[in-house]
Amino acid sequence: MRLIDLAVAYLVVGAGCAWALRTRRHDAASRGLADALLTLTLWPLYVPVLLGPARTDRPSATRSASPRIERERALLHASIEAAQSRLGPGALTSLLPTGAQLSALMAHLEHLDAKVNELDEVLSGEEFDPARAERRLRESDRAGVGSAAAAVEGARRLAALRERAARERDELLGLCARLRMQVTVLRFTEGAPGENLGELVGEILARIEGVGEALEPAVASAP
Amino acid sequence: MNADAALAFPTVPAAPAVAPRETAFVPPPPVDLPPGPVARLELLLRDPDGFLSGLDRATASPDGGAVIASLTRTLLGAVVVGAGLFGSVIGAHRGGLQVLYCTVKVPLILLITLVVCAAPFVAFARAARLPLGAREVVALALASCARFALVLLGLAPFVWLMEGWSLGYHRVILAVVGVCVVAGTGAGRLLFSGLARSGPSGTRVGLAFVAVFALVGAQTSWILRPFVVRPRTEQVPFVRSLEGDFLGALGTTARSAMDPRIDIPSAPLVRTVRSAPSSAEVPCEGSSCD
Amino acid sequence: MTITASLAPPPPAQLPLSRSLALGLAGAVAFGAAAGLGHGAAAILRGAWMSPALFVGGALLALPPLYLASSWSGSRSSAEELVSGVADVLGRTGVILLGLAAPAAFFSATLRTPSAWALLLAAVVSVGAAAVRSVSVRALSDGLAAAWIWSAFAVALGVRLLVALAHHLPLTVTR
Repeated sequence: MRLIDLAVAYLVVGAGCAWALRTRRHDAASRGLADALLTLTLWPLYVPVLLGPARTDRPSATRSASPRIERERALLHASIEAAQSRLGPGALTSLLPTGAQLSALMAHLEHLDAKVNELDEVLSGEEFDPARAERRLRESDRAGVGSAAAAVEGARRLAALRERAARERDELLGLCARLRMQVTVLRFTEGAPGENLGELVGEILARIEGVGEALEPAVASAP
Repeated sequence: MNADAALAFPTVPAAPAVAPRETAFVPPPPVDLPPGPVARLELLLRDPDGFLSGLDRATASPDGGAVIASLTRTLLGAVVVGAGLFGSVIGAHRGGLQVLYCTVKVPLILLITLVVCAAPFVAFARAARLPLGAREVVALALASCARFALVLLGLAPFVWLMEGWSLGYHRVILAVVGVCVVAGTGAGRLLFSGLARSGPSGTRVGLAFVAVFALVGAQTSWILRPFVVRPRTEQVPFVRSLEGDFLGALGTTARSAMDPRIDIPSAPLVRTVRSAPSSAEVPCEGSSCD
Repeated sequence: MTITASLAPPPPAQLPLSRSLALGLAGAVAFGAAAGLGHGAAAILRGAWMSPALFVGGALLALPPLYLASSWSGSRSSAEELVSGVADVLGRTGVILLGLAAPAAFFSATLRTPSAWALLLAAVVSVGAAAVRSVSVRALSDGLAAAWIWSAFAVALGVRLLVALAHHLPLTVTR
């Protein structure tokens, strides 16, 4: 195949793309003609622009939460609903967290999870591998020690950030599990109000305060 | 009792949007692409970071496809007009039909190279797991070429001045190469900035792309030669026959530069060996006149 | 009661094994066929089997020594994880080769000098070296010596494969 054959094959593919584009889109005639000409002559450039997908895998607010968080959300929601349906309107039901409060809790969990995932992605690159950075530091000559030391420090700080975010997330998930257990206990408690209720409320408050402290360490909350 | 008035669940701050990807570069304040083509090209030249920011916001918007398609037509127009006018200045060294030939051929170099390199560029971005879709990759490559063409257009009067001073064929060649280097630096700055915003592998992807682009561009310019032609050349074809290659010609030129006694055109086979002052000099033919 | 978080960052997202292998194979076939496009149907077929033989075959041959090197370097990666990692790199290499098919076809149709072979060799060596480095970084990050030794072996293996395959090539330029 020579250059002229390649050019003919190129234009044939371009014509096919232009025809497929015209049958698929219903733009104004003038715009359609311009698009068709550009597709015929520059289809490797123009077809991705017209039809290509946008950026992929970019962290965004719409990223779905991890399965672990979704499972905890579903379990917590189910346990609270079951407790509400069993207890009915009353003093005990008023102790349960509301839908808005649960949504805010889940949103913060998702935020922490996204932060951990993003740091994981950054740390998985070789530039931030602590072991590799330390090895570079050991092997660097005098000229390179400064930059290698900065790389080691940067890698360690990022790793510490990631660890803290993951620990915060996991502690919060642990407290959610305890909250769920307490709600389940509350659901089956039939003790006289004033006796078991106080203990249960106190225990739930302590758990929720633990959640609150995990969310806002600076808030000095009193039960 | 109202459940909502129950336990004071600790006030949780509204969940913030997930922080944008943290990179070593501080992103500029968000900028939107202006609506008109001239304003967009002005942003491309004056504020490449602002242009990249606008491109980011355009691709993330719901009507991103239409905006990018409109921008693509603008950028293609800039490539054709900018490179075409620069080509006409190059062709003016000989004048006549060569002006028209170069007006057509110089934009063709950029467009053919872009067309051939679009696929590898997208592939490199995918293999490096950059968060860039095919549309964004093509838009970035096209924007870099458009910037290249616009800088060429801006420096075209300098080449015309060099031609007007009659400094000689080789000095005009040097002027053209120098202008291309300056324009290439501007284009590279935009390309690498755009890729660096996408992740730590962006620079490596940019280097790979530049390597492929340079090789394909060199071969394309070889196919479409001649460009700068000596004024005394009588007949100049639109393109010469497809013989030899850019690298071989580079080696020949280097040898010729080191040994001034040898002036070996690559094709057709008309050898001119300057041995003694009394030797009649054959009129220059072949690619050495390019 | 605190749930202890896992401190090791998880590996980057990978494609399924079969998809990675398919990509690697498809990309190599496309690149080889495109490189022979300007030299007739026989050259296209030759390129279509030689390129996967080089890249996929080289990956398979280098896998057992990679496992040994990984074990000796103290890495706790299982054989399955190593295979998965190599397949992922092969998939990404396939994507690169698929993208390079267009320039390969362009040069095949327009470059008719001995420079064509040099350029093809440079492209193959560059992509192969990048793949070797990527595997070495992923699988042997715990041991520098093991990484260097395995990388040198992988490069030598690639050269050996190239020499073996070169015997099937008509090292002249079709005019």
